[in-house]
Amino acid sequence: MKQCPIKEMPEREDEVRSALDISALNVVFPTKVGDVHVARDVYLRVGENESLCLAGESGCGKSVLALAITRLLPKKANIQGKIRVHGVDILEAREECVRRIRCRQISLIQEQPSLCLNPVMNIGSQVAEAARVSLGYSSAQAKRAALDLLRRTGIPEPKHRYRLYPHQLSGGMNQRVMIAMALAARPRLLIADEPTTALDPYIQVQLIELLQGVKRELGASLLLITHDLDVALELCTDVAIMYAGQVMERGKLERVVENPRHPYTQGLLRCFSEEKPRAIPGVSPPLSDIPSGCGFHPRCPLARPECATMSPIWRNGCRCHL
Amino acid sequence: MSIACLEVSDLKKNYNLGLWRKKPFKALQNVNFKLYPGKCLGVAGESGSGKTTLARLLVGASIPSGGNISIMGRNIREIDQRGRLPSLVQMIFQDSTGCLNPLLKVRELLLEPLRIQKKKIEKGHTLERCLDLAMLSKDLLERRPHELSGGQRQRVALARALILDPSVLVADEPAASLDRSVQASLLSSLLERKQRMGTGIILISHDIRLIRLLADDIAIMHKGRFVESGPARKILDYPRHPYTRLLLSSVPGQKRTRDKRFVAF
Amino acid sequence: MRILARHKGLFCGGGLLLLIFLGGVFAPSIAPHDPTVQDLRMRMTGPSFTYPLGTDTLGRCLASRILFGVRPSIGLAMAATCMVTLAGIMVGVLSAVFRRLDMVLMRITDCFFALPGMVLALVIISFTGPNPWGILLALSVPGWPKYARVVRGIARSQLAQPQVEAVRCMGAGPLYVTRTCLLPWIWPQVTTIATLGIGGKVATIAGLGFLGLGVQPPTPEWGAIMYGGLPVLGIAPHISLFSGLAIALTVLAFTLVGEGVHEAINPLIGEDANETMPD
Repeated sequence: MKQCPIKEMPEREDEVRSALDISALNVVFPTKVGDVHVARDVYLRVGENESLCLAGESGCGKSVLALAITRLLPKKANIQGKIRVHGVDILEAREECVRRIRCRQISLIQEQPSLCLNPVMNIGSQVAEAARVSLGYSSAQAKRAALDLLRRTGIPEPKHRYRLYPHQLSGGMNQRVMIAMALAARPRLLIADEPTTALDPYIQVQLIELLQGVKRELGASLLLITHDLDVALELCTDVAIMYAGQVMERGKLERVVENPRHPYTQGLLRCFSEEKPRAIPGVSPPLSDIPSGCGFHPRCPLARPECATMSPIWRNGCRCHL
Repeated sequence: MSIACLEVSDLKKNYNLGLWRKKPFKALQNVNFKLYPGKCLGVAGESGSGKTTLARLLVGASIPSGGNISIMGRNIREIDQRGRLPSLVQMIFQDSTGCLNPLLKVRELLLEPLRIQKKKIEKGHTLERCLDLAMLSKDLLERRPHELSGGQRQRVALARALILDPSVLVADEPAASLDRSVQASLLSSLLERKQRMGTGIILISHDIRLIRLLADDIAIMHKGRFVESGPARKILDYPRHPYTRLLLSSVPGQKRTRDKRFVAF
Repeated sequence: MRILARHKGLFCGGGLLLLIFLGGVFAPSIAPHDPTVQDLRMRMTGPSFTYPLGTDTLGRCLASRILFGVRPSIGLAMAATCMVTLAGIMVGVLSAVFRRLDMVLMRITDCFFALPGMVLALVIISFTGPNPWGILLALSVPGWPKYARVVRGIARSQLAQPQVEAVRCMGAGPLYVTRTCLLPWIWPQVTTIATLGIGGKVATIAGLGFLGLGVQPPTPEWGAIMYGGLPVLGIAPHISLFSGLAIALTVLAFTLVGEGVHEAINPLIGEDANETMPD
């Protein structure tokens, strides 16, 4: 792989060690109704061979982060801050460099695989295409690689299923195909955006095992974006909880689950842990209309007067006044 | 002893598939159960096990190939499909976006069932009642379905199902694509309805975590049959059928939590 | 204003159409002369002060004839379009809602599709004679299959939507389903096709008039005027020219409006949703 020019090399030695390093990230979308702050002051770090779960409800801005990391946000998005992937500043790098990184180092797995796959190409060709584009294989090599990948992702009878189309396979199978495509480039950073949503729990468990195996084999880091902490428990060691565009709590997953510090995290974990389901009152705010001060204060049972006016600072792994 | 609000015996549904409609396919076979007022039956199973077929049969959207469905003691075939049946049994669909007319505002959507059934609508009172059922605020009345979040849409669907005061409510994967906290609020609404109004609920889901919270009885469905059914605690703690055991163990996150407490987001 | 600026075609076509309409409606007031009065001394004269567009072979004022010609040409075209649209919607909706009728209705539609339009029109006129009702029939009969097919397609895809099942669970009958779930989706498409089709019908009326089978003299009709002007094309080209221009401009106006409506409606249907933010 060609080296990127000198000015894009990592500045400090220890930064090379983290697969993903986001600091002071702000993403703003200008719209007809005003500026929408999709991400505010986000700090995240995924070390080599580590796994972080970015958890939050729909509409909290987590998918935007996935697109920001791969620099696939629309041009009108106003992005400030630093995103470093294996030491390379994604936001400052040249288009060519970013494309190479997208090809070889990062792979994105998304939800609704049936919609992400090309409906008029058979699945084998799609995986082969991924292999060809990212590794420069010839057609024959790519086909061999595709068969191998299909087998490794647990698709039975790969030779026969090579020729099938996405609509002929179930959702779980399609997701395996997506994972196979993601593996083709042997990436060092896997970003999985809701990979198991809307699938049966039985299939989810199988896909989780697959992802665990993949991560182990590649020695890759994983950024899992989901709203289902059960899945995160199986795959990740760290967690960052997002609400209304901000990271509210961060830390080791086991610690956060057993001893949540932020009222939002506490509310979420209480939802199904008792005999009766217990929801957090209210609804999460749309990103165009975030409350002032702490974004969570209208729904927070422990809210104090200063929560409405002052934005809480980051303290002790948690963004809260308490 | 109260009579069963829903009684199903030996229910069967066959389809003919294939180009010439010659390949028979047994979607449902030998389904038997009784649902009493104020109780919830949880039907668990994978996609394709026949859960939606069962739901459609119970609401009268589909005609059974064999067997009997009785609602409040009367055979479903004898009940007027368009007049009486909707006030006896209603359904919440999985696809909340698809089942709401995108051209109507929330205000009209909430009153739609009453309009169709030609029931009296008192100006302010009825709408208030609908909003209470849906637990939505007044400012959402003027919005259209695509301007609501998934959870809000499902609430509108719930209000529409409940406004006719049905004795039986069939919920087909009501929380499928929702966030956990929204799922929790939907489930608590259902729980409240069950306890306060005595509505019988059939909760169909592939997610045992939800069924566990609401169901008094559980039935496990596989390839169109009930492979195991009984009181919820018994099925969850002492599953007998191998498929039941497989289903109960295939829940993400179970290995890492202590004392089987499901940690959910 | 911004909307109008974006849809220039709609604006221009609409403006043109408005002028034509007004011309037709106020023909008795603005026409300089009676269209049927002949002045044989002034036959085939070019445009002048008294006769703004000249006179035809029988000395009738061309401008007045063209103005009065708006009514038969466009009036018949619009009436025919209304009939065709209604017939098409009825057949389309019936075949989609009542599956058993579908087979029968669609075979009938196919038969009509197979017959060439102009030939069918001529056959009908030969039976009814060249009177306005005959023309109406001749225009409508070949036209409705297209609408029926389109409406059936839309109706069938809409009926497969979960919202129809949801509403039926509440006890809605076919009438309610048609009103709330089908018609709102049928109207935009049908309006677009209809507006585009009127232009074609104007041309067909002119064609029939050209063949002498349309509106009969002395009622002024553009096609007939054009036909009358052909033998004297060398000496008095203005007769065929101006009538032909009238036909062309009307068809153009309708086409612009039709396309403009199509553009205006489709983006709106898609734009209905607010710009959704990525999660």
